[in-house]
Amino acid sequence: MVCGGVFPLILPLTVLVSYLTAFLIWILRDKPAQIHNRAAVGSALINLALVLCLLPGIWREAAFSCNLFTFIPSVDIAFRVDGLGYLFALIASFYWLLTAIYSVEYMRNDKFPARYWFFLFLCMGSVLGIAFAANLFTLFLFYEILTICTYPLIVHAQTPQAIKAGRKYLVYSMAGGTALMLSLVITYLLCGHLDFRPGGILPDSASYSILRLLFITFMVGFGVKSVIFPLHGWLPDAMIAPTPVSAILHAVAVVKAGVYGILRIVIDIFGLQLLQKLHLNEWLLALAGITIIGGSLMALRQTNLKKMLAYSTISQLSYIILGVVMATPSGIIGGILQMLYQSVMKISLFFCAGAIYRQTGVSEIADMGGLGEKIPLTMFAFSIAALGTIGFPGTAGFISKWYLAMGAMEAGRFFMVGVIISGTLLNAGYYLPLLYKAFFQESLTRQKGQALSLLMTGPCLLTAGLVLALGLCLWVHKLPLHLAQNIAEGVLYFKCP
Amino acid sequence: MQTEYSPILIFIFLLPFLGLAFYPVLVKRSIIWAAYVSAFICALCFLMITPLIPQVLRGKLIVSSTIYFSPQNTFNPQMVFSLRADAFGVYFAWVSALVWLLAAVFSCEYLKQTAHPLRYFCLFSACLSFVFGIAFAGNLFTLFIFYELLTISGYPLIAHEETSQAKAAAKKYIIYSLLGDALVLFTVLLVYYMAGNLELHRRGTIPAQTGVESLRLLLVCGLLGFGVKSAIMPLHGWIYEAHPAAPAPASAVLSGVFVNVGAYGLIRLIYDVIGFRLMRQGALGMIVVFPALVTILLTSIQAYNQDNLKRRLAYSTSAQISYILLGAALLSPNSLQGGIIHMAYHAIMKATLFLCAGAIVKAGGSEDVSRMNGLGAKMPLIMIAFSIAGLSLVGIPPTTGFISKWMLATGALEVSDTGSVVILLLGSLLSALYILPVIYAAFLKKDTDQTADISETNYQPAALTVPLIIGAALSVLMGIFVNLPGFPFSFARVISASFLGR
Repeated sequence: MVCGGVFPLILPLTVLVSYLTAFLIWILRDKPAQIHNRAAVGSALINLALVLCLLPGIWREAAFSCNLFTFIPSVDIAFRVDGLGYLFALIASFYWLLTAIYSVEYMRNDKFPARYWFFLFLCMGSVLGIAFAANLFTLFLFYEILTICTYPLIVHAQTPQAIKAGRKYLVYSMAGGTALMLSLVITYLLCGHLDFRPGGILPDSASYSILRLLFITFMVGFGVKSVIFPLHGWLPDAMIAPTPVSAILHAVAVVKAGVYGILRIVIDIFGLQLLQKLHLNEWLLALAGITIIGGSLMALRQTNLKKMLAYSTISQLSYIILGVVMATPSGIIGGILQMLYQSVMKISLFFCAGAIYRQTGVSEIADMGGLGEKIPLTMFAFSIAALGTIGFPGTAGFISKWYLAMGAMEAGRFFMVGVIISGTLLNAGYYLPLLYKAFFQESLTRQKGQALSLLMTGPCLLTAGLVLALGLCLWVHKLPLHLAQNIAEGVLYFKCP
Repeated sequence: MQTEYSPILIFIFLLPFLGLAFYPVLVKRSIIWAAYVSAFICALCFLMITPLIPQVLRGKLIVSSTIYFSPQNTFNPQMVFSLRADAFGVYFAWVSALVWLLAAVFSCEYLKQTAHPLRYFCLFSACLSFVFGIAFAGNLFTLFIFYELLTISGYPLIAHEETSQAKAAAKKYIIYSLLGDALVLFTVLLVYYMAGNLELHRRGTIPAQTGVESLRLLLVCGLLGFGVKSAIMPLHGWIYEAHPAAPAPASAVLSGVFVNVGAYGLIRLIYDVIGFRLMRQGALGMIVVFPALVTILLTSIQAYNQDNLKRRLAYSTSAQISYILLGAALLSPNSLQGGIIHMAYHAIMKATLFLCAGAIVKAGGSEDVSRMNGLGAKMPLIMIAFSIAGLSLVGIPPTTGFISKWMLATGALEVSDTGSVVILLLGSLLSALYILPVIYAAFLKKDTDQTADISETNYQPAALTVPLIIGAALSVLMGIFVNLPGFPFSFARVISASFLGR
């Protein structure tokens, strides 16, 4: 069922609103910061409202599509939203609002606030464009814009370190972009169009070696942003960015865009069946497994809090791919839920890391002793999010990991169950010592924690509360679960909305 | 099985959380009131479980709540929160509440001036609730959730005193337990793979045609997973560090209940998931029997070598829990009954012994057995309670320990397992060797060199002695009035009949 009326117009509108806000802030760059802040938070609110307008339709498994114009024959700039895209857009616009609120306080004394907001909202528009893309070309377009717009955010501090990290990011992403371009051309040659369709568009008849090559180029293209194993090098360095940027990079914008891209090619370009025929699913699972374990092992060795969180992201993201590629109902639901819940928990962790830095100046793990007494609220939120990432019962992370483990059992993949469980243990291995330090160790300094504005504690507590609510309250949990089930049905039975 | 729907289990489960509302206010005024409230809540839980006993003894299954965490349509990932109680569940919850009550009353005096009282009392109450969650779990999903929650909540209880020794012990505990929990999770997932559901209370959900090899894998995983909490031989490394480090009331519940929880989980796995028939067909009992026997022998010898009383008792806990597992795994009615009654007996006498050790330390005495000469004269009530509970541990008639060991031995003979009988008797002998010297030193040795440095004689406040006396009295009374309804034996008969399908 494809809906007509004004609803489809919301899709380009959301993208437009973000881009316009960006330029508006740029025009008003000499005005006081308060005006930027209001414009930013207001626009994020409008975007969230617009995305929520689509919810009733998506709940009924409707889809909205909207063709802007034809670029070259059978390649359009077109928007379309289904369950998966909607979830991505929903979390993006929600976290953007929180990040905007958080940034107001965090970036208060910044030298270039207008530049920060400008690129932040360009990113926002691009993420929504990626979420609503109806074909590979539109997705590619916004994906590249996102790459470019993230660069100024990463080098925002303009220290030599930041410039170096930015360069690394750019080199990795540009290489990925080239690979993506190549795969777009091959796909176009094979199919004659680039539209997303559940079940895949690539013909079975094509040569298997070409299809395998195509898959590899796709993986290189999207693998950079989704930090799959050998392509993850840029992410820990990019931690030099301001904390709200790291939060948004990790929770939604960049890494999720990469994972979203992979899900799209797995589900809508190749299709799970073709993937199984090519035995590519085994390779992808192995890669995801290596990334899960490897990322966690690297996280264990970190001494800097933000870097540790970065490696934790690397490992957590691969659960999403793991779940979907297993192609069992519970696995797919688990993967989709992990995509949602990982972002809640990670954004909460980063918000808290920023708050800890602001309140006590602590950024190294070794200095975290006694923080539980100094800044109880922040550490409380941090603990909940950390326990959630481990997958502790009663938090959101438990639900997604349970689904993943059940999915692995349904597929009879004992090895993957082992990977999931040992990944969880490793998570506990690097998060629990943090909590131990904060709550059971004496502080090294007498210095007291500074009070923090509600603009920063609010997002911390809200996201941490969400981690608990999603894990404990049935009716909060219902929305993501319903959407995830619809997606899983669509993926497994090619039910085209 | 007859079922009865009643929300009572939810109330019992939530009751301990009630305390969490009071503690933040109370600990600011005076810690002792927080301790009173926590004891009161334990007593309330105990009283609320009591009326369930006649119902479950008639073979009823009490069903309280079933909350589906996922809509029951196309996909069924078994995320069902379900509370239901049969005789075994009620029995376990009842015993746990009793141990908690004794420990809570003891805390009123023992933890009068503790640091971090809020953390301690909140977790002490929450743990009871999690134990109820495990006892009343209607499926393995629920059981696993509370098992994991209990594991994490145990950490601050062990590390409570924040000495470097306590922290190291707590760290060891959490590493062992998390690894064990991971294996428990794997076991749960395996059950899903084999049976397609996670239900308990069905006496065998695994299909009869399942191969012996996969059943063995399941049981080995379960043994290694649950074995960490129940301190089976190679997995018992945490227990003798954690017990001396934790404050005495926490040691009492650790040794009395936490360790039992592992045994409880394993018995559920054996009889509710795999089922008696499959266990016997595949001769799977040996997988548990052998490690249990090894544990009984070796940890008893290790206990004999310890000079620190709490460490000695910790090793003995490891051995005593193995009696329970042995009883469950021998697969004969008598031994199963012996194992089940031993759960209650062990919980009560070991809690009493640990509380006695705590009382000695509180009075300024040493934890070392070699420095306990003449203690009996200085703190008679406490040492008498210790002696009675200790004799019961050894298994001297007419105390409780004798009855459970008798049942275990006759059960082993039923399945003609003479080896087990020999080791059981050896274990009793060894337990006499490590308990009797303490009693001997306390009452018969003269304190010639003034090593037992207790300045204040007759330091025996009521809050310390009353739980000890009750515990000691119960370990005799439960032995004498063994057949009274509501006492462990009446439960054991119903439970074994339902597990063994007779």
